[in-house]
Amino acid sequence: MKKRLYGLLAVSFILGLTACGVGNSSDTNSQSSPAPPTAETDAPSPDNEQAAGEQGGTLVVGDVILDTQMAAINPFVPSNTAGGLLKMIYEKLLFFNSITGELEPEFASGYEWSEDNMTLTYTINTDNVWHDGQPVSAQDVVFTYTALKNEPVLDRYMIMNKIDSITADGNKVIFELNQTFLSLPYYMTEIYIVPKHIWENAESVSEELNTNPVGSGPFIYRGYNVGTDIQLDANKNYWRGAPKVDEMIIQMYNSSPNLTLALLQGEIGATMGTIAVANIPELKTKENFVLQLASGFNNFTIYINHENELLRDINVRKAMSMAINQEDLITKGEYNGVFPASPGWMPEVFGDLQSEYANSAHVYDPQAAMELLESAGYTKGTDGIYQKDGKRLSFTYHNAAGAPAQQMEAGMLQQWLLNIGIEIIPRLATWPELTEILQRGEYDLLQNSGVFPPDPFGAMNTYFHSSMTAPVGEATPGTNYFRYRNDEVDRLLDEVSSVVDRAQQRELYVRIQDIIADDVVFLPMYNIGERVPYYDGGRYAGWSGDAPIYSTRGIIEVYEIK
Amino acid sequence: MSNMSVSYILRRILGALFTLWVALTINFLLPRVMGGNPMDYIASKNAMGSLEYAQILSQQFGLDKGLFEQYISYLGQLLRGNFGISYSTFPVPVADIISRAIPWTLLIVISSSLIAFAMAWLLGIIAALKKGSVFDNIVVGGAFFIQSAPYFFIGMLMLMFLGYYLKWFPMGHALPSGTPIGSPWYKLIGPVTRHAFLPVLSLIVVNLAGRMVMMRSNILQVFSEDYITLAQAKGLHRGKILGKYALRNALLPSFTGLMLTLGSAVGGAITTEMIFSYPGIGMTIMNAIHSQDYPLIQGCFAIIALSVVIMNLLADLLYPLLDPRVVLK
Repeated sequence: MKKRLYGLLAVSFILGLTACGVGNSSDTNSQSSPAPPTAETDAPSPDNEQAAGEQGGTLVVGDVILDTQMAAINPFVPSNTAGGLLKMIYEKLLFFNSITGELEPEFASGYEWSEDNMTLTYTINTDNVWHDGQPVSAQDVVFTYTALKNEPVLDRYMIMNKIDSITADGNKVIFELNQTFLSLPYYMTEIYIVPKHIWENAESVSEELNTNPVGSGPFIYRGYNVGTDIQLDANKNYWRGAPKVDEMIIQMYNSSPNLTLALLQGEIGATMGTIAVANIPELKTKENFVLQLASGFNNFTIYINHENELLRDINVRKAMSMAINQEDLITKGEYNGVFPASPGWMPEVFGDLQSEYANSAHVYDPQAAMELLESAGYTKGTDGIYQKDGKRLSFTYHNAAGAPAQQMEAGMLQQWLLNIGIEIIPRLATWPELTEILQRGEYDLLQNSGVFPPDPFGAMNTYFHSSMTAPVGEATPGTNYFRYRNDEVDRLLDEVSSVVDRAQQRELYVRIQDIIADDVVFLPMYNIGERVPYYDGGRYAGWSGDAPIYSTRGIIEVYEIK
Repeated sequence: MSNMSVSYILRRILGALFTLWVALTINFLLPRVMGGNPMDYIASKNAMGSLEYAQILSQQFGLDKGLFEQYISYLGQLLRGNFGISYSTFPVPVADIISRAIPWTLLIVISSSLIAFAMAWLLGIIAALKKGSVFDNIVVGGAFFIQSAPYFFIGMLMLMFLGYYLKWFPMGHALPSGTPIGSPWYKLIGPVTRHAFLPVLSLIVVNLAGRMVMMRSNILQVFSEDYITLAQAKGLHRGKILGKYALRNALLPSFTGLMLTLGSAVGGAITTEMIFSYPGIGMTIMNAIHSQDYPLIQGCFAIIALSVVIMNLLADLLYPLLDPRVVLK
């Protein structure tokens, strides 16, 4: 009996090993496992630059994508699917270059406003064709925007109620507005154009799964392998010129740590998704490693509730601002992978609209912070916390649960505030809970991101106009969660909404930012935009310097070094 | 089923249906007691927190209706086999998402459970028969060590050692990168098996330890019974005593454990999926909870509840077949 049992065990073990093919794994595509970089062969050198113009090969990148996100590839709901994939397949009328801050041609070659700013006309780029060979036309744009008008659930920025009609005239698309809306072209950089001849038979565009997408972008969807990768073919007929590589593979990972490990190993040449920030120092030691950084549309911020009696005191807010070491936050918290957020809110991505005064308004000086509080009549109690009229400077501080980087930064911020005699009571909440708390104003201080569209007016108005807020206990109609009210800011925002001249716009935006900075409406942390890690040299080169890597203009230049 | 009356069977089935209804009701209420409003969260991420847009979404997904009306609609949909549309991956039906993810979960969880049980029984029997030997000490000591280590530690150890350093197995995914799209299923058996090896091995190691110790204890306990002493006194061969009398009694406690494990298999192995970037229902559930995707949370938990209730019922109905001493009325 014993011998039979041992024999069974041995046979099972051997069969198991045989079936599973123990040995050096040759599973990964040999082209997707580049040789580890060495100082002798793979350091960036003039030889790599001479290789410009190389054609062929496979670009392998990685992204955090779950299989659930591949169940539908509907460009009308880009937030629910693999965003990086949509950028490769589809185009928008124009794209917003976050490196230069300019609008650039894509599906359309340009636009112009009528004299009264009530008609917006785009000229369609007729050099382009759809992936199935059909020519693009203005009718595709009319179809796309009419679909948005007919299904409000897809119109997340609520722009379609400002548009009366959309018509085509030859290769032009004409939008007739019912009110001045100069920011409209910026919002249109978020809307992908779809082929009318494929989508017109859909009962409801919002319910189409579109699992075999046809676009006009630089890559054509080939298919995907469950839990593994998405495969794309180069569009040889792309109007900007065919991509230099023959194909692109987007490897799917379940989490940022797995994605980062793949990047560390050299399994992928770049990522489309967020990497684990704590690994940035290690990545920077890798040969040829580059991090493309650009300012963007997300300000991580400490929200201050201006309905709180103590926080309504400008001296308290100024003191808190002076207690925060923004440089340490960026170097130690985010490993220099972000930009400083401006106390005037406007990010660097909007170029010359940013106020220099507001941008440099933040000063780190804990000693001066305490002196300011004392000059305002606050005295330190025996517990080391400042107080005035029997009220201690003690505030709840909400931040995200299950977000290690956020919690580490919250710890830094809480300690800095404690150092100047302000007590912090930490509160953890999930991201959805934080949103609800902000909306209802049921907080004192709250650390969260502030996202806005590629539109300077949208960025400022929705966060600071008094019409975008509500009393504590009620949900705000916009994102003025601060409960901030300033008549002069309202007046300036109302005025800038109808100004066309760039110089005039700048003057008004600068005044708005200066007031916001002086009022210390919030405590700025950092701004996040493009943060794309990649290896330049070794295996790939040609990465764009003046456009985001994953823009249609940038991605076609990347080539595999032979 | 002479030792099981018809009325018992009917009562068990009705009990199972009642349990299922309670589970589905809790399933409906649980996501709604989480803080935050999913539509406000979606609007804050994608539409600058527009209240108007959040209200449009609420109407779209029926969240503007009263709680009781939503509950009746939920039960009605379930009876028609409709789990609704996912919020976070709109417009994909929840049934599509679950049917996509579950086969991969079942592949690794069921195969690892069955292999772990089989190996646990085998090793447990040998350890019991060779009680006090070097083999017994190694096996029991090893089992206690593994049980004390958290799963993610075991999983990461295997990933780094067998995948990263030795490169014996792929470090993640269900298939090799670059596998031609539309490959016939028979060409994928080898690659799928190779890619599933590390996730399955990690689950086997973790599940094996405790069950093996339990099996060993069961065998030792049965061998101390009077009827075994009688059989030995009558001169029956040891193998016959083990195979004909001891094993079946020792296996009985493990049987229920196996049925429960198989029932909860559809719940996924989220840590396994995270470590090995493997597809499955575990990550789906986690992301559904993070996004407050009510229909997806409800759909996944409904499947888990159904599976556990069915396997529990089967265990109750099959047990008398395995143990004729049990009479159920």
